[in-house]
Amino acid sequence: MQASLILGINSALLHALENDANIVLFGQDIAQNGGVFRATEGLMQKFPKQVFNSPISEVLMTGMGTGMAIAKLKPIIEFQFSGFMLSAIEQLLIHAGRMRSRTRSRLHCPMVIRAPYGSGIGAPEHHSESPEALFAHIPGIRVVIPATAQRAHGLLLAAIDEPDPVVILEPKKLYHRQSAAIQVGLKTKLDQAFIEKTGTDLSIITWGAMLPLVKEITEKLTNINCEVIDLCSISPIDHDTIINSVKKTGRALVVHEACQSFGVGAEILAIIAEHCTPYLIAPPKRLTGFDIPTPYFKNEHQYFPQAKQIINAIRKIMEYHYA
Amino acid sequence: MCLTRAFDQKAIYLQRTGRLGTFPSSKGQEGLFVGLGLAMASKDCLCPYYRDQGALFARGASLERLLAYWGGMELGNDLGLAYDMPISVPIASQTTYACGIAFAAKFKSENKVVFCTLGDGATSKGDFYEALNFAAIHKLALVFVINNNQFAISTPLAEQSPNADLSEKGLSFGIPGHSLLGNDIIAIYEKMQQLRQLALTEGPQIIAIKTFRMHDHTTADDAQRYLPENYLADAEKYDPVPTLAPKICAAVKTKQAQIIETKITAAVNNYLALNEQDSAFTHTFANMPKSLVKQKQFWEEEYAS
Repeated sequence: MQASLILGINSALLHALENDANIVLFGQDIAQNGGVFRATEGLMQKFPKQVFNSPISEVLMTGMGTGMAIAKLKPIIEFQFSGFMLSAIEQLLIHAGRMRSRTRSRLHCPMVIRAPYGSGIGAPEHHSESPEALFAHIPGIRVVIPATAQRAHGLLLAAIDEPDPVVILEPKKLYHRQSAAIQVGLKTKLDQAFIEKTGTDLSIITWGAMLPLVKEITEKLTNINCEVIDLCSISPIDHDTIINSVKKTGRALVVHEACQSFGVGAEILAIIAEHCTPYLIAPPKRLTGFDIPTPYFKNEHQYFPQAKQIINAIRKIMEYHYA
Repeated sequence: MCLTRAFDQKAIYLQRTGRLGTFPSSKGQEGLFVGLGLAMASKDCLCPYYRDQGALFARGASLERLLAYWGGMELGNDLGLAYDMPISVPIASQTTYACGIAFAAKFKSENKVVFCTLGDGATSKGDFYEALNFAAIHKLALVFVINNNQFAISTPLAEQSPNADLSEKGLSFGIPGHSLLGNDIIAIYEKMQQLRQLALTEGPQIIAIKTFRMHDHTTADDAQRYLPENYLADAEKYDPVPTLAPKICAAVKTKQAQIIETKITAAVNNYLALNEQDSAFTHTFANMPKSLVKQKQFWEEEYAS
């Protein structure tokens, strides 16, 4: 059976609901409508008590999730678009992310927040945001971005079982991309990056919708043997996978859609600088969006890394020689 | 109420002598908090803001642990209360998790009411309205208790809200509003019991209780800078402690005073001997990520040794 990110997510939610009567799903339009991306298709019909529409109250949603989790329900919150989930930052920072620390583990918040993120579907303003760095800077929560159907499925299952908050940003551009069948019920381990393609010349670290693009490009580059890493776990970052890769190849490139300054790429470059400097044969680089508000979709391809810019970036790093 | 008043006084003294951090006195408002705390069922959930010591003590909270909270130790978030939430500093932020807890109680068909306290200033926050809205849709067993002491730090109610009567805040959601003065603890206690039943049978309730804040917002504030001339004089008229006092016989008062003195002395001594034992690292996650383990190792080398 063919799969896709959205089917992987839906089957994970179904699997979870079938196995835990304390799971509660809420978000805008996720009940009868099955969610605007159909992530929750068919679930309310099977579990009417556990799946319901939330009013448009993003501040409330995360706070409610905090309270539900403390009261031993397992909330899975859907924000309709990442551009509308910014109120969640407040509640995660002031309560959910620090409840365990505040109470020395007496109380804690096992909750999952998921939202579609990123560009590529021609949506209006605010519907193409990449806010992962904003969430990644909150202590006490995890942030993951699955780029394959199996990871979307498995990470959601793992997030549901995790005793602390997990934010899952789902690359909406990849929602309906066809993939091979997935193993239903198989959890993917949190906190890890995945080597998508092994190589010897250059480590490319990327995530989300950039991953299949980078993979496609590097598979076609016959004269350069790139190693491609799906960062996947945005927070915490899997230091070991990155460090081992860059020590091996001596070159690093981070590709992300989010704006450059203070983005996740900056964190990765810091890790590389701290641990890999003696091994580097070229300065590590980032190819990212610009420090501008997310552009409207008609010309978005002029502002986010595309094949041309990625190939140029790879070539420049490969051609670099210290003077 | 007398315990709370004595505690507050002692806490202010500790702060002024450098042994406690910033502290919010509840002087003048003890009727609201103690009346509420006594009226709640033991398995109900209190979602306090930060001025609720009267309610916390009425429900059995540890005095020394509360001193630990204001003394800057996470230990202070374990007051020995099994069903209540910790203190919430960010204004009105507790109203939304109060909804979550009340929703869970309804989901599990529990005979349990959530009481969420908040100040007059908190009624301006979006969190509050979103919580009212949701609580009303789902008929949650949730009572919002507004402590209207008429000032949010220095901002008088008239600058905070167009409603002089904060019990009206629920009208647009169909949530019944109740009002009381804060001077009569017995009236407050009885009302809270009624509200508890109403919440279980009909859904969310709002009660706005008008009190007088007889001390500064906190020890870091100087209310003399902004209080109207007659405010503190009026406050004395509505002080719940002397209002109740005539109803208590002298022998009981004497005995109570002794008990209070003993409790407070013990709490202060125990507090001054307390120290935070647990590492913050251990309690950030159940499953500590490797990157945090590395940071903890650095901390152990650089800070802990």
